[in-house]
Amino acid sequence: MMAPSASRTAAHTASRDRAAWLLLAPFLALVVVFTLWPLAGAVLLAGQQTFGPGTSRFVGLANFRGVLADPLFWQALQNTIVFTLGSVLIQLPIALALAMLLNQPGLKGRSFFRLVLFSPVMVGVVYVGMIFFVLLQKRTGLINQLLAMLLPSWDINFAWLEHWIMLAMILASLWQYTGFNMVYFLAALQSVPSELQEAARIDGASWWKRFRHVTLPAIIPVGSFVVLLSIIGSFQIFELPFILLQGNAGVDNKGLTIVGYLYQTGFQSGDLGYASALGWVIALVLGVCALAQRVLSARAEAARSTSAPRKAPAPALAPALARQPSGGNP
Amino acid sequence: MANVRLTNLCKRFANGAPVLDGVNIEVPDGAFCVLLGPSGCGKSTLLRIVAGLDDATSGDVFIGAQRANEQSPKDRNIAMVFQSYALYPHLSVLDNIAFPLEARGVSRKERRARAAKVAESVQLGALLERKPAQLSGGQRQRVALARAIIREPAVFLFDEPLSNLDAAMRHAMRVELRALHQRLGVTSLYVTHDQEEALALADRIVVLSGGRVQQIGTPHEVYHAPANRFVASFVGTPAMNFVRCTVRAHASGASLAFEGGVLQVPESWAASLAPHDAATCWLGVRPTAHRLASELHDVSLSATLAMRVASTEMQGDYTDLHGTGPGGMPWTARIRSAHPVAAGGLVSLAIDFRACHVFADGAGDAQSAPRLCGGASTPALAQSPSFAPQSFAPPTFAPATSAPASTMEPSR
Repeated sequence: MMAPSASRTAAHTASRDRAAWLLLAPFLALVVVFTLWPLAGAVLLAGQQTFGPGTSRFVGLANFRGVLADPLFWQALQNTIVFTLGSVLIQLPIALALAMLLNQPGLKGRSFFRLVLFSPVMVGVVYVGMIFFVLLQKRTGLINQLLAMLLPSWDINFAWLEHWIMLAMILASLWQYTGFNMVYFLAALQSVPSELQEAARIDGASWWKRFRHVTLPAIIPVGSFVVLLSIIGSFQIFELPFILLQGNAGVDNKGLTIVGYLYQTGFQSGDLGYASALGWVIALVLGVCALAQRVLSARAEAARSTSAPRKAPAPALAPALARQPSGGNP
Repeated sequence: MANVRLTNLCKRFANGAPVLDGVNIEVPDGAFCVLLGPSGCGKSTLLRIVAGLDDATSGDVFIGAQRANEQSPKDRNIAMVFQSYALYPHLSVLDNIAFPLEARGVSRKERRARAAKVAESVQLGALLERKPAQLSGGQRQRVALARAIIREPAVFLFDEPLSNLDAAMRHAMRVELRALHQRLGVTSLYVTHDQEEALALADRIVVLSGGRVQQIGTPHEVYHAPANRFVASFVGTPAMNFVRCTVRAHASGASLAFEGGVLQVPESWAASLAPHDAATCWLGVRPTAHRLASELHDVSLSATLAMRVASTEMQGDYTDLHGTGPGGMPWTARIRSAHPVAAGGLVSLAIDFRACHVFADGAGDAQSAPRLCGGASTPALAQSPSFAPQSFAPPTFAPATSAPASTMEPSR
């Protein structure tokens, strides 16, 4: 009795598995060719010193030792961290504040403001770089022109892009991405239960207490995700300084970012091995950030209530009462 | 503590649609007042206006002697319990309860001591360090209650606080709420669409429909003397049966004629019905007003009606019969389960006029037309002839002796 049934089950399982693998095959092929293969290549490359394509020798961990001892790497990392902090600490509070303004009940023209604030995202980074390049030019730049008009003593040749490249980068990305982050915050704010806000108002909580005890706990999961997105995005900053500085790293390498440095070593100096090692270091830093975000948001989620009330055993009094008929008696 | 007075309260949406239309309510100090009505009748809006969470378009809200229209919610000396409990998810039970005190700047030591004491009074003493997510629905509702109690407000506002609980828990919390009100004696305004809850909890019930007050009365008054057809149909489970009739006043009393039959009504109704001779009206019969005619010892003392039973629902002590009654109207009768009744047949049902009412058939908002007579003041099993609708075959067990020929005649 058992044997035929068991073998039928096994055959059924095998054919089901085959179908599953067949359906997965196109996706797996793409992942292998475009993700795993380059990744494996990057592991191999990171252990080699290359002199342009075709010439290379195995150097073990020397590239990684070189990266850690490289002052330019540390400067690029520092610049990138400053830019990232600027993005996260300036951009996100502004995005949250704008979202809270847009979330005011009874606000007229909400979708208009949302569109206006969101629209810079639709412009490519290269265009944003060009806009800010035009704004911050020495003689013809609009900022210098304006300042010269307002302040007669202003030097129209003031080189914003040499002295204040980091500020220019932070402002450009502020202009471009604040609306994008605002939309995330707005969605999170709209999910804050209005009854909770009202309960806090009746309880006499101040604006700050309402923000701290009602709004903030509710938006932490989205907030931490937005922070992670901002950190990853900021760490990968490349096009903006490339456009603003016309492919250079700026005075005293002030505009050198870590991906910019990777590009320099890999594609300008031709040492793809060193660039791969740099890439792995960036991946490691971002991996740690992602892990931190997961832990933080898991903790926030655990502290937060799920809105659906859980069924729990009723107290001893309840069953006796529940047995009473709910309607009248004839 | 304080009374709550609402005068001429109106609320319109931006598009002009009225939500509340000239509502006048006075809740005496210490009363438990339930606002009862179907979804969309404006009861929650009314409560939110009292809380200060919504503004009235016109009219006044008085809490105590003070006009509260311009006061912010926190200055109205009220506490509100929400349907979703509205607990602060990241705060412990103790901190949730103590929150209103924190917002008022009470010292940490004092607010924790007071919160622990209040928690004890609602049987939460063992759960102080838990987060809301770790509590059952009933426990969460108790936390919400404790948070309201700790403020020692002049008025409690409850917005359907038991709707999210299962039936057993709802019963238990109902008893607790009633006990709490008796202990604290704080004026309470309680919104619900559940008429059972309203009847069980209230000192007085305000029945709302379409933004208007339909009736204000004690649970007894609302159930036994419904002001109009809306209240009669909304309060009571199963809902009251209705059949449209024409009043016929005559020297010996009054009768109600409907499509296919005539019903002689008790003498005590005659005076109330006389001015409405020839007018159309609605006869309302509570499902609980029926008894199987075959169970009565002397059927001649009772009015009976015939009902065609489409289906039966055994409920334990009683059975609900569903089908068509006089005038071909959908009809429900709740009878004792002692004798089983088969679906598909005709039954003769004796009716108790104490659970019957006659309502005027007003033009326009017909549901609000007033009650003319009926209810508990009516003598039981009034001496009136039975009737049988013409469209039905005579019930097999219908009394053959008592019905005078005149009332057996079709009304046409």
